[in-house]
Amino acid sequence: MKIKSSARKEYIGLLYISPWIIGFLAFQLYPFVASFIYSFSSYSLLKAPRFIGLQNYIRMFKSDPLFIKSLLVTVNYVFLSVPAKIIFALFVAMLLNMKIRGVGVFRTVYYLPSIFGGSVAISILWKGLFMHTGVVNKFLGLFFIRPIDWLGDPKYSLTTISMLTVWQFGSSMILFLAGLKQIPNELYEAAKVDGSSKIHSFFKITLPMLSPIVFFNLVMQLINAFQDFTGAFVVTNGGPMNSTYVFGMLLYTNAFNYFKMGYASALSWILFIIILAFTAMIFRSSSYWTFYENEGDF
Amino acid sequence: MWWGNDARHKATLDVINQYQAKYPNVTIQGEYGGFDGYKQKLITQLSGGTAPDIMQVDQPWIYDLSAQGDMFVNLYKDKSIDLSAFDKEFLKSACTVNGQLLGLPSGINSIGLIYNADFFKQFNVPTDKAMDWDTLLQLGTAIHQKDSGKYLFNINTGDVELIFRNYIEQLTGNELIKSDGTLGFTQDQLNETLTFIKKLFDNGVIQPFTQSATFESDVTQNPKWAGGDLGAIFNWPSLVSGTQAAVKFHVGFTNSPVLKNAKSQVVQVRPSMLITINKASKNVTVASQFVNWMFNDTQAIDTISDQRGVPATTTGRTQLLNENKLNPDINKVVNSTLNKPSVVETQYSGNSEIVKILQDTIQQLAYNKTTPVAASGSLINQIKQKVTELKGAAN
Repeated sequence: MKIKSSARKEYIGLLYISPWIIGFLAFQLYPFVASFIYSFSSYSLLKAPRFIGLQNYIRMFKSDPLFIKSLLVTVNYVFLSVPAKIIFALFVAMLLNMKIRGVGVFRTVYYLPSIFGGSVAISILWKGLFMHTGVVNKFLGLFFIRPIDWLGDPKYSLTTISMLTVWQFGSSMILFLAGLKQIPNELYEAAKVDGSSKIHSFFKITLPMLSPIVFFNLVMQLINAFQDFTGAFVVTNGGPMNSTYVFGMLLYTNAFNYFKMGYASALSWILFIIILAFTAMIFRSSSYWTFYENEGDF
Repeated sequence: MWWGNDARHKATLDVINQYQAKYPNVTIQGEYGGFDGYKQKLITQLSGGTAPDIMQVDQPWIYDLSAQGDMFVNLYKDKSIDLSAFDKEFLKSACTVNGQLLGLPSGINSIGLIYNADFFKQFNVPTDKAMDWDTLLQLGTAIHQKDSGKYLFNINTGDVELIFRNYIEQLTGNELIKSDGTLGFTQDQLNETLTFIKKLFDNGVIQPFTQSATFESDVTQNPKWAGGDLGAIFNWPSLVSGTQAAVKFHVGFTNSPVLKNAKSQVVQVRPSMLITINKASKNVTVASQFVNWMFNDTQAIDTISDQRGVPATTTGRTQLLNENKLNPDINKVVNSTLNKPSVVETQYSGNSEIVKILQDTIQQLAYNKTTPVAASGSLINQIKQKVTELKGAAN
């Protein structure tokens, strides 16, 4: 009787998660495997895939100058936007941790940009802000600074696009806020008694206590930043002169403008390997700078 | 299935209803939306076997699509379609691949200048007939020297590429890349064309890209255009009515400049779009009867009017002219270019990857990262390499 009932429980459990399993198999596992297979073929959607071995991968490195350019742009973008985003998120979280009246409203307002994502409306906003006669230049004009072409000049365009994702720091901020609230006040009080300055406390108490969250945010934001596409697509469309041609754009263009599904699949696998490598590096380094209160082994 | 704006949707739906009223045993369901994402949707439907019976297709796509398989009915062989009102040469050069008529042109577009009438009047830019490119360059230079805030062109990379194509095709008389994959030009001719393009940037005929790149996706959004500081957009006339609706000044349309002493007075003329019939359709006969009616019937012509451009049939044009439904500027330009030879894209010259190579080169010239001589050498190599790659992929 006991055995029968536990088998039945298992069966019911499986039934409950079956929608997720079906979704996983159909929309995650299958495309995952399929794209790997397609990466070794030439596939234009209208004809059946044709096996071509490693040609896609060879072509990527040998005869596609945009591949290297796009990789460089993307790495620049990641190293620009991820630290900036985390630092901003932490800074704003600390501000919002203060007990001021109406802090709830501020928390909502600072979170709002993250909901907008990338859209045509956002692109119009960004253009309106950063165009030659836009709001930012008008503001700089008050200080007699000549207008800068934030979006049209290849020197600045990538930074301006990075600002779009940095502006959407909401989710990281919420996590930091939660983390800050968990730091026991006694630590700060004890430090104050011992004569520690606010800055000293920040580096010796706040940061180490928050380090698991920094770690989490770093990994998640890195993974997202490498795949980021909508900002560059709707605001600058990869230009000018491919200065904002992030890897997501290269992938999209090859897949949906040139209909080279096989090549695009190969590109996506290279991106996967790159993200995997960076994530692994962060994980390995984490034992040196991440501090867990309960010293669990990780 | 078609793309368009609200006015075109309404006109097409009206035409469908009229036909259904006339032939109650026929049911037609319209699928429509914007142009953005249409190609992706069409290709997905074609590959999945769910494509509609009648498909509106952008002319440059028929080369890529027909290379992938037999998906359009050969309308030369379709007995329900009366082709007599169409210009035979136009059908042959623009709508056929390998001798098969893949679609009917629902309108004719010939490229030209969409201009701000006040601006052109102020600076005495002639609009009665086509200028030559050198005159345009001189005029543009003088305008910018007179007023450094003004530029003759409101133009993005894609439109500069159109200027590039018009210029070089007038110079050589050939397509950019011939259908066998060889180049239609020599390095010297390419150098001359790129030098001309560079002068347009250097002399202030075109606003610096650093400032205007923000409006790459839609030049009409550039505040300088609405503010009257930019003279003309270089593009197909289908943009005219939409452009006029957004600005206070009168928007005119005139011929594209033509090279003086050109090898051939070629100006880019193309179908505004093609109406095709899906070969895999189960209702080919019924579909072609409807298509035939749509193009040749008086009532249909009247309802659709100029929503798909200037009609490609002589009967259509005459009828709409008599009813005063055609923009006279556009009609004048189309008529003046229709009887001249035109160069139509081949599957290589219209290929998206080749377009990207051209546009990247143009941007490098615009941002002063290269010279015409260096660019012409590099461009030739890149095109040759890409054509070889495309040929290999097609096998």
